[in-house]
Amino acid sequence: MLARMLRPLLSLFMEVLEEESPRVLAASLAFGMLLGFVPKDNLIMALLGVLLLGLRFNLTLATASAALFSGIAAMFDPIADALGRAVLTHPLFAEFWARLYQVPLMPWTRFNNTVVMGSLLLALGLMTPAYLLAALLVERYRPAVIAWVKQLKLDQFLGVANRVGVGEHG
Amino acid sequence: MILRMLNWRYLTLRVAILALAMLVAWFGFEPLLHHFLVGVGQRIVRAKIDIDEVQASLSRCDLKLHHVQVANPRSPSRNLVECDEASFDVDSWALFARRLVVHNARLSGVRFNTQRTTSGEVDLPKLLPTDLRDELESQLAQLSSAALKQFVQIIEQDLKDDLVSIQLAEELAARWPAEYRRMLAEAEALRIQAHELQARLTESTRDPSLAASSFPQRVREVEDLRRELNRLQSDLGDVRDQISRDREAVEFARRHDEQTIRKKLSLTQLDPQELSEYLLGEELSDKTSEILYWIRLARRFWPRDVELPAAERSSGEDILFPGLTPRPNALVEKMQLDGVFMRGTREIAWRGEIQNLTCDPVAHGQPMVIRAETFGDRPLTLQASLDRTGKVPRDAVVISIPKYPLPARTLGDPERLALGASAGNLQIWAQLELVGDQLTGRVLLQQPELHLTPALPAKLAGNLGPRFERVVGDVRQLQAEVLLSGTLDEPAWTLHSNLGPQLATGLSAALAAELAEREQALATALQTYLAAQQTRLDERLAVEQQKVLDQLHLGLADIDTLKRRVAGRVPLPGGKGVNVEDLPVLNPFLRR
Repeated sequence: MLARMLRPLLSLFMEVLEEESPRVLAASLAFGMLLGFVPKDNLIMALLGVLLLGLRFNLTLATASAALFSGIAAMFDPIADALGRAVLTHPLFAEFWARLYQVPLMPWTRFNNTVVMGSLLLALGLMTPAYLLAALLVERYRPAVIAWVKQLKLDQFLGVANRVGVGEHG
Repeated sequence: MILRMLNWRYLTLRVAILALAMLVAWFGFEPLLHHFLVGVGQRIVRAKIDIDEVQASLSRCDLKLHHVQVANPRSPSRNLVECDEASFDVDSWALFARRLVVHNARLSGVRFNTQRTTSGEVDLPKLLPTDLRDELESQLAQLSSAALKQFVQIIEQDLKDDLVSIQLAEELAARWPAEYRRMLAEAEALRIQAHELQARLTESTRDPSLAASSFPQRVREVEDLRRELNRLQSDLGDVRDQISRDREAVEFARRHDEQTIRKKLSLTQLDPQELSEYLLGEELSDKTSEILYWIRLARRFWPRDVELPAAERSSGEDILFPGLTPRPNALVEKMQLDGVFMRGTREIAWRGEIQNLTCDPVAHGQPMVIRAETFGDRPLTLQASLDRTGKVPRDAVVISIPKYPLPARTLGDPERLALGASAGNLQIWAQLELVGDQLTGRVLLQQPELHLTPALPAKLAGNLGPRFERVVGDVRQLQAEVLLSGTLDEPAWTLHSNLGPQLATGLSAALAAELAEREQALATALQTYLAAQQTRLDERLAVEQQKVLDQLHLGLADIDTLKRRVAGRVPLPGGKGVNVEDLPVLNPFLRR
């Protein structure tokens, strides 16, 4: 059972590490973070979903990243709320926001909500550093990680375990 | 950069996924909408909502619901409301602005309080408190005329236990015959002793020495017998004196009892207000409590603050930008309704209109207005305004029923005093206003052609019936006004009617006359009873007394004989009799 569950995940992990370019992996991680941060009940999220499907991101990594950052994002809500409020109530942008709100479909984006706007800005602000950091880490540590995983001979272990039924008990 | 990132192999696959997702969304829209409507509705109503079919057209922006049933949270086996079809004409431009605006909605085949085939309970905490109508009815049970209660208590009370003269007469009737019987027994016992003494004397004459030795003993025995007989005679005289005194006591008790009867049969004046409440309370409470119940229900379903489900994340705040007018997210500008409701076994058609139905009345700035009318032989018009635009909710309801056919009915409690009211048409007009929880209102009722007849229990019907008929015959119409105050949860009400003032004086006089008659009859009955009791007792006592006297006379005669025999039979030594005069020991005995 364990082997049956882990085998596709391991294959996926190896495929992600070996086949994608570092820039695609870093961009997927950063975009997933953006997806995770933005509240889900609005049109912005739908547009981001279309971008996720339309652009060349690694779906696995982006989805995993979105799931991870969704949990983390709730902790940043107070910051996002303050940031969104500051931007939305700033007199300099007041007229612009008012006009934007009257554009058809724009209210569905819920950009006038303090948490939605704050989370979006926070995630956009963090995207570049996250991309650069992720690219650096992938570039530097990917060969070592691949070697380490191969050294573990997990694939071989899982195969054996599957044959002798170890996984059934584990 | 973006173009360079495009990977057409991936793109084709993902566009296909996206298209599939859109197709699922398109075809799954109606089930999703069905789920959403049922979920939200159930959270608001706290009871099951069933919708047979949801038809939604995104292109035409209209929505149709088929056979909607909303269960009654207080009675899960029944529907609060049920409708055959509900259609909504949605404003598509407003949808672009993330607002649901329905210009026209139509609900047809609306029915209330229908039977359900499945339970309407949902696993959500109940919000409606105890049954309002029950509360009002329990208040009603306390409404009654104190004077009428008193009258019935007077009529039903058993005065026998309170009448001392009867008890005393009965006690005497038992005591004195027993006393005479005791004395008779004693007299008979003395006679027997006298006879025994004679026998012993006869025996002693055969032996002169024994006669001489027993002589003092015989003298003492004769003396004792004589003394006992004298005591009995004296007792008989005492008893006669005591009986005479007891007769006076019974007479005194009778006079006291007459006072008691007068006191116990006195009645306070009927209070007109109490009488109105007693006669009309039940009839009016039904109608008033029904109106209050619906207002309370409306309060529950259209609260000022809509309860929203708790958010997983902070929901933030929707900023209203300067220059933009706040608008509600959901608004039904006009909803037309038609249907039937059951009145007994009859279906009554109705139609209505609701304006400004919204989830955010503060943003909309206008109160919800409801108009409804029913057709048939009892037309009704209703106009209500449910205002949630301010800090304090304000509701106002005006109901008018110009012709409400009423069958012949009984006003009041038939076990006490009731009036049979003739069938006729009742005119009802009610105005209620609720500011916050404070309730004020008036309900006016009028029955122009009225004929009242007294409806009394059999025990009261005798003389009271004709008396009451004369009083109620003058009442030709019924007018009543209920003034409501207090809160919606604890409404207080006062009732004014022409019935109370018109009937109170006449009924009081009739009741007082009835009681006076009863008082007189009771006093006479008491006197008659006591006189008869006395006569019977006297006759019986005379017989008993004569028996005792007879026995005493016989006893005395026996003693005299005995005396002589004792004196004559005393033998002297030498065989001669003795002259009794020579025996000083016998002197006191013979002198008696």
